[in-house]
Amino acid sequence: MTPLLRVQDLTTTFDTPAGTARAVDGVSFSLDPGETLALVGESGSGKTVTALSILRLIEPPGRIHPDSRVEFDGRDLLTLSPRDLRRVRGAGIAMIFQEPMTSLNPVLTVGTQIGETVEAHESVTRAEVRDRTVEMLRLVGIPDPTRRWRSYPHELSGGMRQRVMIAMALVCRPRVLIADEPTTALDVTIQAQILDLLRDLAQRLDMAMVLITHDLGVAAEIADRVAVMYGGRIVEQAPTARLYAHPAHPYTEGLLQAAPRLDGPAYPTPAIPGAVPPATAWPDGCRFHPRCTHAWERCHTEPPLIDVAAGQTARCWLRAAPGDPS
Amino acid sequence: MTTADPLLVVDGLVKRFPVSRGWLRKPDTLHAVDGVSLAIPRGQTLGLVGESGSGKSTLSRCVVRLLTPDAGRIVFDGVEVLALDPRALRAFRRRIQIVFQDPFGSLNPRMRIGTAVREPIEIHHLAPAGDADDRVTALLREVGLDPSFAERYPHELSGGQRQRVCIARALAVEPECLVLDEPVSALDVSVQAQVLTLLRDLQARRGLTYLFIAHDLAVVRQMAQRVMVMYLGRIVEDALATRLYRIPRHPYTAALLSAVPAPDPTRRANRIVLPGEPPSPMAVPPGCAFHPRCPHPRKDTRCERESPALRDLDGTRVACHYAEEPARGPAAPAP
Amino acid sequence: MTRIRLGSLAVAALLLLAILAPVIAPYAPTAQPDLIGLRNAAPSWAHPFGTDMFSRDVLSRVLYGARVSLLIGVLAVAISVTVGTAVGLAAGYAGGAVDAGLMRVVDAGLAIPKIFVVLVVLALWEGITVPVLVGILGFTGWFGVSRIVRAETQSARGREYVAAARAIGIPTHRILVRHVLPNVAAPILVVASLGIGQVILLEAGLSYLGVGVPQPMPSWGNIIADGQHLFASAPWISTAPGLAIVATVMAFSVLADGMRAALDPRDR
Repeated sequence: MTPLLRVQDLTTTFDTPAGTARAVDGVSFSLDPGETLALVGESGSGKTVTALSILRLIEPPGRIHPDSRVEFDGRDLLTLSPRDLRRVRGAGIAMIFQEPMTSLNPVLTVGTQIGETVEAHESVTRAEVRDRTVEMLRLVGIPDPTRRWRSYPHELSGGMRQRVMIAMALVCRPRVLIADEPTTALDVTIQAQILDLLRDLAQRLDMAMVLITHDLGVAAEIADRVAVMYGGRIVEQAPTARLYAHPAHPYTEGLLQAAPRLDGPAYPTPAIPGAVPPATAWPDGCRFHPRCTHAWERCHTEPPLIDVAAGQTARCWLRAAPGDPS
Repeated sequence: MTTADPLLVVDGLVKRFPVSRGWLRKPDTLHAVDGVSLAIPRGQTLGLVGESGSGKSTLSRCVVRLLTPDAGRIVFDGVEVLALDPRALRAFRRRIQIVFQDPFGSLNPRMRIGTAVREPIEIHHLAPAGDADDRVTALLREVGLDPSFAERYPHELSGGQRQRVCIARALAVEPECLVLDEPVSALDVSVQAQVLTLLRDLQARRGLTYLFIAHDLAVVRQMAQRVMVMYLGRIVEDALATRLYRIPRHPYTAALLSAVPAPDPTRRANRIVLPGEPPSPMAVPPGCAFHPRCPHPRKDTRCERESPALRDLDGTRVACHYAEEPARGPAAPAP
Repeated sequence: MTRIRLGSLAVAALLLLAILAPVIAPYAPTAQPDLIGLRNAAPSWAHPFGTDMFSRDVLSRVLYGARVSLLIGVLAVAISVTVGTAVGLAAGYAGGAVDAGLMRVVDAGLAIPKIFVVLVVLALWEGITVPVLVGILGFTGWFGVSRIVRAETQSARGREYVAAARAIGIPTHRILVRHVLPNVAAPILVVASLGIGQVILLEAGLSYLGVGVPQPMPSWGNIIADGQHLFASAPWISTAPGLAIVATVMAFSVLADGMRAALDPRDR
């Protein structure tokens, strides 16, 4: 199956007074139609910048390096003309963000904002726009959609606003949805609702999803595959069940151990020592090795992504078979 | 459970906020906290869990007297906190401190770290002038920060480091009790684990008592011996941690537990998804506040009419008419 | 060059000129060397800005006038800022009745046109002197400052570091001085800068109308007044101080703008 979205060697840097921050440094992954991939990482891992780079939403002082490639449906998004890119945004690939309150315009009604997306991509009558919008509100589970169509963002709760964001993103039936921490700002019970909704919609609309999150639990909930990011690079990729049962990279292991759980022993959860280094000064070799309990001399050379098992790769020398060239 | 005298007792606390609805209309009332009672034994941690609108943050601010409750009592080590005059109140502030959720907003951006940590020492005259700096150094070390941090400004530190500074500042007055209002919610998972470990170490070393407030049940489980669940300003369940996590008695607790996304893909099936949204604390439903969303099979008209009292059930306090029959089986798989 | 640098240099240059006036000015401001030959003389090497009807050197008068105008501007604004900040802090932090009461006073103050009040007071005052002018301009100019300080104080009050300070037991006055004020200082500086330019303009107007700085002390306003009726034949008398006013107000405006740009993004 040819991948719907293929990111190759994506590198995005920011010029800061403290030096050049290599926020995303050679990231590659692919997404098949209908698949959900979770990009998991903590702050400073580069996951949000990766998402923004895919849709070319990076502003100076950030730059996407010319060697990067982002192929969607066979075309390189990074070299598209602005007009063609605009056509892809919203209709081919859509994105939802973390804070629904700041992502929605407070002075426009919900219906107007969803309608804008339709009008931007298709030429339809006002009545059709309205019908599509109401239909979308119903699809995302907003009760009484014909009335809610006229509501303003501040009249809605956090969970409903996030549903509106999802409606806005999906109204033109994009093939790919990029969701950047869609549930982080929500209460736990609402989070469960939204995750259910996303999973349901992805299936119904045959949509592929890139879910960006720092929460391993959220990733386990709805992803088919997980890619763990650290230091601007992907350090492990695997099908979900495999990653949680047999993590291959020490960082993934550390994250899984550090995550508070409802089952198992109550405490203590061991912490990963140290802190994430600044993006202007990644360590030499393996970026995680200064904090890794298994580090050895070979780690001063950066490992490539090594095949561990079917579909699982890890960027760690520990996974290299003996006799592998360094 | 321990029979030692509790360090902190709250009895029937009520806090309401008037919300103006414009010039000509009578203001609405927001019932933030609606009759909450709790007790924390010395040296232990009480976990307080709730979502937005539950009133947990308001409660925490009342306990440290940043807000004045409308009714109820707060007793700290036998002292009636609400009856204290301003001078005695100042002395009381030394014994209980609060750490907030937002490490970015809790520190004055124009004040150096060292100055911020030293200020409580100066205010309460806890050390002669020359020694204050030594105390600051010792405090920074105790929370795992290099003393050179004293010269830096908050914006130069990461979220986890700022939170450690807030903890150091709270410890500067040598309190007996810390109120921790979502202290790790804004932090990354690996940093969270570090800060929680620090808090546990401090508790063991200094014999501190904690009121630990969070919306994340999994985090609370790491810290608390006893857990209280709040919904719309009222307590719905109050139980030993070991019991609450295995057999939640209140349907809301069960839903909360099953809603926590676990890093375990095999757990997906057992999810309870509550319908609808938490109602606004300005429009609390009649009868049981939870009834519109309650999935309990025995829910009936009694739930709509009669607000269940918090009653004792085998050492657990629960506010549900049908708590004897749990809504669902245990949410978490047996270890 | 950034605005703040340009503005600071310009203001510094003006201050320097004003301070060094006695050294730089070629003549005494009240010297009348030749009432017949040098009356209303056009600009020349000896008198770069010409002379006025009393044969006084206009350049020297403008330089000395700078001292008076800048002094009045700076001192009056100092008073306005001090009073306005105190009121704003009190109203913003205390809230409730205190806030309501103080803000009604401020509203009244802002509603009445300042020039009207000033003119009435000055017209009734016997013997206007520079200190009197400073006082009147200062005490009628604090209302706007207090509004801004109040808004910033309210916003700072809601921040968690203020709640943390209260929880530690820090007394209110110390919270205001050590926690609120430094975070409120930025907009105050901007307003003060702009205010100096405004007061100088106002003083010039008052002096022009004859109720400002008393003759023969030179102030830019009364030099303009002097040259007004001679504008057709000796335009330099009024033009020179006019240019000085424009330059000064612009310098302060650029400085204020530069400060606003430099301080804003870092704060938010």
